[in-house]
Amino acid sequence: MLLPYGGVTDMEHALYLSRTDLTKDLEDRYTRVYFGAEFCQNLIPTAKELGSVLDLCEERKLDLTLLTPYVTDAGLDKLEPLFALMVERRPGSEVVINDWGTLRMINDRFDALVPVFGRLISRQKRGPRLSLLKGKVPDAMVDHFRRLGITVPVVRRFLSEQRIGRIELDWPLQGLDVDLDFPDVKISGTLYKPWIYVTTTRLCLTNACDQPEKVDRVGIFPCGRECDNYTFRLTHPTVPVELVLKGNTQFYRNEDVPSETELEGMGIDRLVFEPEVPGG
Amino acid sequence: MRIVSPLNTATEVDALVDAGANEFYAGLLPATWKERFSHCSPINRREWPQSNFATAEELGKAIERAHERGAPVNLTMNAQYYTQGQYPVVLKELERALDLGIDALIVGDIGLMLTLREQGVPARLHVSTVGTTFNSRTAKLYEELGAARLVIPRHFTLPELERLRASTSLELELFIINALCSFIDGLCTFQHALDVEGYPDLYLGPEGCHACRLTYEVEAHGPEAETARKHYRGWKSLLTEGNCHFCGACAIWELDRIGMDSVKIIGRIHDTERKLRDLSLIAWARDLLAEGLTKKDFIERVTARYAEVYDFPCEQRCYYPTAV
Repeated sequence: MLLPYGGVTDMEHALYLSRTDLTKDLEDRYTRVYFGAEFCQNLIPTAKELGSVLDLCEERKLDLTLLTPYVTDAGLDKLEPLFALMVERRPGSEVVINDWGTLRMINDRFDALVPVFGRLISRQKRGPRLSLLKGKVPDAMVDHFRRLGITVPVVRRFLSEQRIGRIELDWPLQGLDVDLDFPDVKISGTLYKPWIYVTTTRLCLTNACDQPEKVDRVGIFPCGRECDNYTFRLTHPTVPVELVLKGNTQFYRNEDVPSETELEGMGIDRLVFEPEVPGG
Repeated sequence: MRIVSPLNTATEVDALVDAGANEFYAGLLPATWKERFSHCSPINRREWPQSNFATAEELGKAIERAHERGAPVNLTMNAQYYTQGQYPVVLKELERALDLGIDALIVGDIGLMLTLREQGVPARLHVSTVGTTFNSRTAKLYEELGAARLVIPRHFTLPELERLRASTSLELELFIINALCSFIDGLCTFQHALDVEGYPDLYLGPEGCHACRLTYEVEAHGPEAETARKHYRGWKSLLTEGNCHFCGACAIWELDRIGMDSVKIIGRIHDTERKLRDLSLIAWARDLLAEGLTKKDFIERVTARYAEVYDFPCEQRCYYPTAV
């Protein structure tokens, strides 16, 4: 990648595909696409939809990463044929997992696919009010919320045994203290921008949100894909940024990310650009 | 079906056992942790001092009395993750808890589970709800890591529970009453306890520290935006306002039918009186199973009991609406 001042990095650039318009924002600088459902098993694509993306990847010579959410057994049932299709048409493709069961399924049955450790299951702390701590509380506390639990030796060795060589990260408001240059295992990092994942639910707030008679209920109900049409913006005086609710998941936007050179120094060698709020 | 009750003091053990508790769960927030990391950077999922035993001595007394009454005591060590610098303190506390006679560790972080296995720590392992066991393959992983019990995430339907139950021989435990988290415990990246004691600069306003419970200004975008905005407000108020008293007592009939092993009362922050009230509904409902009622009759009796216990009628804020 050519930098504005003439330098070059090896940073890989990927595009988080829109669910509704696959080629929207698909510029030449992207060599990989991310596609799928990261937050909700109701939105796991069909084999036909995945097939269209596989066609696109062949046509444009793009690498593919399939995003998967946390899943019940019914969700695993939906993922299985997608993995089979990927093995058939595009072995070596990546699957972002956000569920230990999905990781097991891939390693048990689809070892031609490459599992990637997703940004939900990586348990990075991202609540925007964590950015208020700096300078007001002991450093050890601030440091904790800038660090990861998955890079402690026992976990990274386990992940490596599970064929994980890449972890997916956000750059939250409080920053991130990470160096993926480990002596014992090789792990690379991916950074998503600009939308930072915050929290998710199966008690979907967007479900039936356009039906007045269903206002007073909380639960897991059949999905009408209202998230295709609705977004909520949430503000509060004590929260330093606007939260955006899309579907069952909340995000905030953070453009203040270190340079590509700095990120590479931390072991982060891929950027995923999210032109739209990724939930829903 | 076993009833698992929160425990904060040694003095409440007898009353809780008498009221029907079969097991306890408790947390410890030791001074060594608090001094170094504060309670805000958690050792367990209840960061507040009042939700935890303050000293090992007090916890030891509670364990001793509980054991005399035949009730195991399980220790929550269920932070979402521990960083490298925290491990020495965590392991020291674990060793001390085991010396005190703790019966099981409730763990949510895979790093701590792996460490327990690697170091051969002789503890019964319960995987916390933080472990996000949503499916049978995840259950299998935790079984291989030595789990004896899985505490299931709050957000499950009855058919999903039935399928999970059929797929594993591990003990399964469910939350049964009190706060229903809006979001998935193990995947939520908000931080609860930011109102740190001794740091008044961090005062976060009258609504407190739960970012998930704040009264946000809401702007909805979409074809029926005003309806959607009202829908969001309704969702929020159901989950966070009024009595905030989600309950699964009526679901005990179905939970027993499909073979759930234990139900857990939420409320380590509650006083003894409140714990006893919750037990007088939940343990009573569990004991009502022995009468062999139909599901309809069971629900009617439990609903009536709810109004007697809490002095307000059931609000139909159901933990497991698909089981009712």
